[in-house]
Amino acid sequence: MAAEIQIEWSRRILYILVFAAVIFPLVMGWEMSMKVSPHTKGLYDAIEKLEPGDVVILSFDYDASTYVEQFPQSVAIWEHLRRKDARIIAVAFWLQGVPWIENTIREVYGLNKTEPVDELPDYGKKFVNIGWIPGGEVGMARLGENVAGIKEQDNYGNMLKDMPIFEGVKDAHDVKLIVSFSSGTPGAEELLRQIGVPYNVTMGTAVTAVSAPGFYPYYPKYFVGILGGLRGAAEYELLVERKGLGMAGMVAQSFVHGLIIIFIVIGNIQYLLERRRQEEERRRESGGA
Amino acid sequence: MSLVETLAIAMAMTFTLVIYSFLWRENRAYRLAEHIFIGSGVGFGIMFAIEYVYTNAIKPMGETIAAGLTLYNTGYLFGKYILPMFLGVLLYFFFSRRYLWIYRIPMAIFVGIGLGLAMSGAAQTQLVKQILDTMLDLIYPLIEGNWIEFINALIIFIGVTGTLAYFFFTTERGSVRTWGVIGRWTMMVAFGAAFGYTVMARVSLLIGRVHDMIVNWKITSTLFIIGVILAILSYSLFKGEGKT
Amino acid sequence: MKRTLPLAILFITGMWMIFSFYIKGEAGFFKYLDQGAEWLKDWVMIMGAFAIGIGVINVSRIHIHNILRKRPGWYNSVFLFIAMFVFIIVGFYEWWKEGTVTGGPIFQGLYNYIIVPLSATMFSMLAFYIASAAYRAFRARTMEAVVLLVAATLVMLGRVPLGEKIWADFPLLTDWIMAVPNKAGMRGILIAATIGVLSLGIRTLMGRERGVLGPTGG
Repeated sequence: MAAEIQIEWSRRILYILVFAAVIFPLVMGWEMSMKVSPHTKGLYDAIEKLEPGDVVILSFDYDASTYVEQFPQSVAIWEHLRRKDARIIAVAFWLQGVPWIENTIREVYGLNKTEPVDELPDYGKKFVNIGWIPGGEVGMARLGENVAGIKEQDNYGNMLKDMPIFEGVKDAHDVKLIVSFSSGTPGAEELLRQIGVPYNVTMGTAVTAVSAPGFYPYYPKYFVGILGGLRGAAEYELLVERKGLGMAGMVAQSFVHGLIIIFIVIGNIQYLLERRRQEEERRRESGGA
Repeated sequence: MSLVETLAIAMAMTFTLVIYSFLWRENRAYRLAEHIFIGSGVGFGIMFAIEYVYTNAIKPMGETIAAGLTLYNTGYLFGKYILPMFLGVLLYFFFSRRYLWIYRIPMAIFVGIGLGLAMSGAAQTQLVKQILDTMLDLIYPLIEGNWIEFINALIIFIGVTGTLAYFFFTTERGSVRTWGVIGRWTMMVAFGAAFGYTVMARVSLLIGRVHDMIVNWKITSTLFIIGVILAILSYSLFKGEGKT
Repeated sequence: MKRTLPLAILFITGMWMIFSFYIKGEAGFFKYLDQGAEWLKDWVMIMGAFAIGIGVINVSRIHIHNILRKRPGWYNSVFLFIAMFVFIIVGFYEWWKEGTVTGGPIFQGLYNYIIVPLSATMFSMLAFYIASAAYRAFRARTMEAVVLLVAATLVMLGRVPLGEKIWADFPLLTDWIMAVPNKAGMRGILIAATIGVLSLGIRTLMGRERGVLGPTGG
């Protein structure tokens, strides 16, 4: 019983330490410099190369559980595309992706929570929020075949066929770049195999850090860039010079990583000491026998 | 900040803290929040589905009918909207034990199409292209004389073939086994990288929540709500009603 | 017929998709095949929207039982329905007022202030569990575990600014680990997994895997 209570409390102390390592740097508002990695730069360069009026599809395939990583990524990339004067078609294959399209637009264009998005002057000309596309991978395949006619209406009840943004856009051959904000299935991998490779469209992806290592087999040939987690967002924020949660969180991220490495080291020292003690005991026992 | 927004933040704050109370001990407030989460998720999803079916099937169907029916039109209407909706309704035979087989018909279309697409896409992108690239990446740097690239490509080649050897040849002897061991070590590096990235992702989520609480949502409202929550929690914890 | 019809449909639609994926026809038979495939995909999208209802009914059934039988914690189920109906009522109100459900400001607000804090906080708790696991379970028991541990530590350090403070070229090392050994391991796993998926897919199309069409029996 006493041992159980001890474990319970050691667990709680550990939690409090982690909490403190996050809260402290955020309250102090510290920042640190960092290098931009080549897989982030790859996506940046691909967007830099776009001409005004090029069509870009942004696919929001994440939900609230990973928004902390992917919302800053979406904002930074959308901001960059807006500066390049690209035509942005935002879709979501995840139900919960739709509110994040909306939140991204509000953040980039500086709207408050009640101002209608579809009354922005650029709406329908420079960007559109198509909303949810059901069917997962099947919906993705259909989007490739029929970009402009994938749905009847956008997310606000406006007819898609009346919008100038779709001028000259028939299928995925008319799309210059696809960026998938992906945190699971269906996501970047499905989009790559249904649109990216069959139509030979340049693709980039901004993913949650959990799945980032799994996308490296496709880099740099199929995905020109991979933004991995909050660090990826921070690097992109640095590149487009627009501060957000990514850069604000990097010091806290450093602190907690440091703390976890210390935990690993302490845990292993304890383990080695324990093992040595057991070995000695065994030797003593066999020596005594 | 308007009153509505303050109340909304207070609510979000309460939910956040109630969920974190689980770290201390499981309690009633947490279970309640969990159920509210499921309920709102379901309500959220169903509205999307209703709106989609209405705007993309029922409404265009009505417009076509209003524009006047011809023979061609009727066929189009039937194939494009009525049949898929009918099949969608058949899905609900899932709940009937006796007529479950009817549910299998739309499900077969569902699975068949999804699988057909996924298999063709995967074979092209995840199998053929990946194998080709592993080999081509070895050849191009040689032509260009880029030795660093070549060495990297060689390491990738050895790692990929080793991993495959580990999966497909489970012999106990000879060079194939050694190759498999190389593959296992390569995978260990990959799993290590994956673990590092997983830590990064989880920590980021925590940073986001804390950032919302103390930076976005102003400290005053935070303190107020922390007080309320602590009061409620300590009441429920110390009255010994922690577990339901 | 009850058994063979679904399996026949499964086989035909699956083969149809594979065929039209690789062969894009401009005229004649192949063109019709292509158009047919497009229609089938449209069907799946509409059916996909219908399928959401099944999940809703399933959840509702369980919790209605909870309430009716007064199982322990039944009042939680009541709140589940309250939350669900708040979203549904607000959704219909926005539809009537704004002409859109999902683009309406109140619906959005409900999402941002109810679902987001609940969902994001639940997942953020994993940070604590992973820290605790790092302390308890991440032990250098074998040589392979040491490799895993070293790679993980290097990646963790190299991906944060702290690593750069320790050694300026740390990110380069991490980038190399990600782009070379990690890529090799992940590609091997990807190829092996795809071969597995394809063989399972072929078995399914041939009707050897019954589980995919719902509960067996009946």
